[in-house]
Amino acid sequence: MDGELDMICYHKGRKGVIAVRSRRMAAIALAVGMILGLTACMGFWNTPIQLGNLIIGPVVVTGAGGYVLVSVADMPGGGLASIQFGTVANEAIVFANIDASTITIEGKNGFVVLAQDFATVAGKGTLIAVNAATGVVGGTILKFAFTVTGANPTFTVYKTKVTLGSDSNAMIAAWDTSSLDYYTK
Amino acid sequence: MTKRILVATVVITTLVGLTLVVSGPLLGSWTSEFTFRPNGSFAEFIRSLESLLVIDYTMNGFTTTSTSEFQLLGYVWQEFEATGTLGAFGLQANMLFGPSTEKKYIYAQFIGSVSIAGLDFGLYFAQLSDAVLGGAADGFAIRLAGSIGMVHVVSITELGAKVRDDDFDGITIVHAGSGLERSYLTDPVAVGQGFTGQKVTASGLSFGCVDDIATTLYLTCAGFDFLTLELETIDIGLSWLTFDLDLTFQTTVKTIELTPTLVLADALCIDVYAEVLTNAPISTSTTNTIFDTYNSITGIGIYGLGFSYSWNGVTVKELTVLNTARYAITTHEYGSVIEEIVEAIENGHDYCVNYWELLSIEVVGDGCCGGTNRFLANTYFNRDESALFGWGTTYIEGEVAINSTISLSTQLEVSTDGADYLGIGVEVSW
Repeated sequence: MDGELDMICYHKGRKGVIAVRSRRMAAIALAVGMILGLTACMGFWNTPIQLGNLIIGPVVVTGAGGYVLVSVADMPGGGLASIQFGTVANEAIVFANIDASTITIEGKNGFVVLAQDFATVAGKGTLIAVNAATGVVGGTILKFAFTVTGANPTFTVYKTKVTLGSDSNAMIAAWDTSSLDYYTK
Repeated sequence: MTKRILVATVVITTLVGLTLVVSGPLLGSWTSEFTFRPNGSFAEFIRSLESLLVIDYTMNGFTTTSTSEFQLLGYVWQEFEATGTLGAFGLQANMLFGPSTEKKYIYAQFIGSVSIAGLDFGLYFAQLSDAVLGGAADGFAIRLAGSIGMVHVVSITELGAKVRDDDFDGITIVHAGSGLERSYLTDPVAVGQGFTGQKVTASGLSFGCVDDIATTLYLTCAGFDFLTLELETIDIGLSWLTFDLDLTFQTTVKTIELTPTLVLADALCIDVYAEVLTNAPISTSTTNTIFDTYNSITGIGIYGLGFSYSWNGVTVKELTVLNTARYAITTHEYGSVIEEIVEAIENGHDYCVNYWELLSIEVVGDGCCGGTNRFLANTYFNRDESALFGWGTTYIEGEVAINSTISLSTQLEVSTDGADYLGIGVEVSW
């Protein structure tokens, strides 16, 4: 009998230990959850502000020809509606091993090229393109196609000479360039 | 001795693997297409080269799919997908790689779902690599959906990820070099798995003259973000006119938008594309709506006409766009339909910039030895062209089935400048 009582007491004690342990575990889990939740909302895991990006794609060579896609991502103000690559004598586009006389530019996603100049200064170019329909928040806006004249052709855009306008008729002042292989929209 | 054991292990594993492959159903298809410009210079001769290889393997209720996409610039996408059920659980996993770029791994997604007593539970996880602009990112989302009487309630708890629904678009990953893209349901928006948002949507309510009321509440770490009330098809007693009402509360702003909709009878022969015009400015979200000081209905605009008739496998279709400033005809890849230009741009649909009319003839028939033969001819007309009837471009596509598993295709596009491009293709399936 005493042994049975001892066992019951032991079991009750063990249950009590388990119950205490469970409550402690639950409290710890709740505390961890609250800490995670509060610190998340305190900004430790805030998503960094995404600047608008002008993405210059790689030069894709197909035989004697090639092309470059120019795209945008996360453009503010309703999206990109106009873009100017410098001016004549202050061109924003610099290229090498590309025949300037063969450069053709196709607007994408509603963009139309209003004016371009790739002849005045050798190896440099400028153009203006607009989208009268809507702003483009993310996607391809221009395709440059050309004949390649040498190995490893290059196509570079100087950010400081590029001007962007948004669909809300405001200049986009804060933006960045990217040469990453992928972007999201 | 160790080497012998290793070699034996490799051989046995390979044999077991091959046995499983042979014993399980292996399906797939390979599609390849080459187009060229007969009138172009040497540098412009090759227009495109595309190849798509899809392999499906099903075993024990799970299907694994491998999709490999090649273009002229190289091996663009390698995608793996696994879907299936494990007891009461539905499972889906996706992985995306970019073999032609320096960083190969791009994205991964896992979705688990289960239905218990009428309650749908879904767990979403996604990870985006730093090869993508804006990455690295990873996050979870938990979705609960159920009905209380006629009311349907959906709760989404965002722990660093958003899930595609009426308010969010999921994630679309674009390859900058080719413009090709892949879309998935789960968009990871924050590194780590902290709480980032909570959205609750209740729909299916009916009240008085309103058929469907939906309300959405969205909270973020910053607190209240928005509360929307959507009332659809408000009947004002006019059989030909209804309104949709969107009422949005934000922290310091409340907006009300009314969208009038014409209710037309079923077309007997000619489809009339009509809309209610308001004095609101043209944009993606506000065109044809009444809000703020733009509170006038200015008229009814007919922006297009259409005709379509099918018989004995032949379909004749005609589309005319009357308002070319705002509407356009999408290309054949996007269904050759009349779509608002701003919507086409937002959805990534190619459209015919200069053409206002389309005449299409499509013939579909059975192949002699299985499969399907198909012929399509789309002719586009332009107001400004000097050619007969303002003809602008004709696109012809033909597909001939050799048998039920192999088909050959050809394409031709001709414009006022001559032959724009020619193409040949092959599709093999097993």
